[in-house]
Amino acid sequence: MDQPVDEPTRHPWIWVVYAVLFAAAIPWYLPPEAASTTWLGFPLWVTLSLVATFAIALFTVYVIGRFWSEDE
Amino acid sequence: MNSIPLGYGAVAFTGVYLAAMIGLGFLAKSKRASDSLSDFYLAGRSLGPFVLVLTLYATQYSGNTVVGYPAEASRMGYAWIMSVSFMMAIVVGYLLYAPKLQRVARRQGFVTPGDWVDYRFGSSRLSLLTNVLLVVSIANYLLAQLMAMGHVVAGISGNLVPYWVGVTVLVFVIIIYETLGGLRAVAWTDVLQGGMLFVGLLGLLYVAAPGPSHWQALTDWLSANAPEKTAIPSREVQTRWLSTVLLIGFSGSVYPQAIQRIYAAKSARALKRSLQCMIFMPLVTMPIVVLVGLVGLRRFTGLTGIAADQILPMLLAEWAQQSVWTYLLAVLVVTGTLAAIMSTADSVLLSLSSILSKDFLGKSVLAGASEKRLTTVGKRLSWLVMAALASIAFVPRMTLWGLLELKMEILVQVSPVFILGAMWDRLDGRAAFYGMLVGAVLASGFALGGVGGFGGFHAGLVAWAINVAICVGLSFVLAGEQPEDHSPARTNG
Repeated sequence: MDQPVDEPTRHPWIWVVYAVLFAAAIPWYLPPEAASTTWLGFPLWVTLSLVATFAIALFTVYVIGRFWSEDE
Repeated sequence: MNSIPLGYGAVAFTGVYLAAMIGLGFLAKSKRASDSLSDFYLAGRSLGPFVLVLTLYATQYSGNTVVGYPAEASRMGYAWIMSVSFMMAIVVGYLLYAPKLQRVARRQGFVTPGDWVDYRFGSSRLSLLTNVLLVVSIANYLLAQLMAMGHVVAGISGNLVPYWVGVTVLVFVIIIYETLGGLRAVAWTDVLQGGMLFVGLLGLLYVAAPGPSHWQALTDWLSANAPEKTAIPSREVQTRWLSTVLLIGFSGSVYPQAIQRIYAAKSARALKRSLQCMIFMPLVTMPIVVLVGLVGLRRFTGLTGIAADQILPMLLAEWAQQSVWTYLLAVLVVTGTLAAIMSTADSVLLSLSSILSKDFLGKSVLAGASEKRLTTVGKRLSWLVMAALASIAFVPRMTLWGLLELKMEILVQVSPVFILGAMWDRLDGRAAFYGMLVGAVLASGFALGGVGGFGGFHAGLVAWAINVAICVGLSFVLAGEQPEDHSPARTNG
């Protein structure tokens, strides 16, 4: 048998963070009136969605760097 | 339109590009080390992070992205920004199984996705079912790429180069460089194609809506003339958004061509670096595509269905007439679009050929044949597959996004054997087989019966949930019984 090696599936909290970030990318938490507000030229809800996906990208860089063992 | 909107300059540029593709095919052929399957289909497991990220990018972002998605944005409005989420979900999906698969694949010398299924479960019927579903799904995907080629060529030439001629010429170019150099040729052409796609998209952004003031003007126009395009998506659309993230995340990450790039990485480090870059690609790609769709909506209101797939070609034809700079950018975008389509088509074709040759023929009529023989047969199969699909593509019946969605609902049914199979040692091969069979039958039945979804969720995702429930539940029930096959399932990794 091999020695256990580190990988993201061994850390359940990582997937909780992903669930929260993907949920934040969907504008379910904003009232319909928020559509009239714009930020950086886009409706506010679009900009917030893009910010959430940017957070997913940064988090993924961290997860890959920290929790994916290169032992072969 | 009776003239070639982009003129002979575009024809010449496209000709140079196509010649370069074939040249790279010859170069790749000269670098081939042997006639083995892994040398032809996996480039000798030698891909470094730079080539990997561009080949993953060029393969994942396709004709659907550049031609189908602007059309979808024009239909759905800003809600299509959901495409950023679901394209990211593919990369996140890799994290569920790629670390383990990469290690095992390198040690065991895997070539096709089916090699993992054989190794992990030791079940010939599970391998067969997996391979059948993979072939059905990616053949559908390849068909969508061929149709996209025809649309782009016809649109940009004002129909002077007919749809079927565009399909035929590009099919020939792809198959020539692919059979010359295998994955080495495909990956090298992907580097050029991925680079062209990226630069072309930046050009699109520059011409369509380069900065916040342009975005604001577009949003203001939409708010006044089509307010539903800027409104916060309804609960139904939000549910569809979540469903699409799950569907694309679990299916897109198990594309055979993506799995084979995991095998082809020269090291875990190379794969990690490439995925750390790939996760940002949706953010620099999809917002541009959404903007182009919305600019197209403002310019050509009233486009629906198949006609909406012509938004990008029509915009490019118009921009080409405005100034020398916009003409040059339009030429670049057209070639980048062709590059995006061809780079996906060549990768899918290569995967298809490897599965048909090694997993189907290599286990039946060609059992015991040498790797050289299987490689040669695989090349011949590529020609046959392309001929068959091109003949279907000559009569398009569905929008590009419709084709993609249908394929994903079948493809997602194989994800448990890769993802759950890598994560959970107790997944039983029999449970995986019955789960996949039920999932595939349900997904196909829903599609044929016109059942699109349940409560906003894709019907195929509901079938997938039942598939996973069977995988888990039956594995517990069967725990302790003898496996069906003599070869024991392996779970170490």
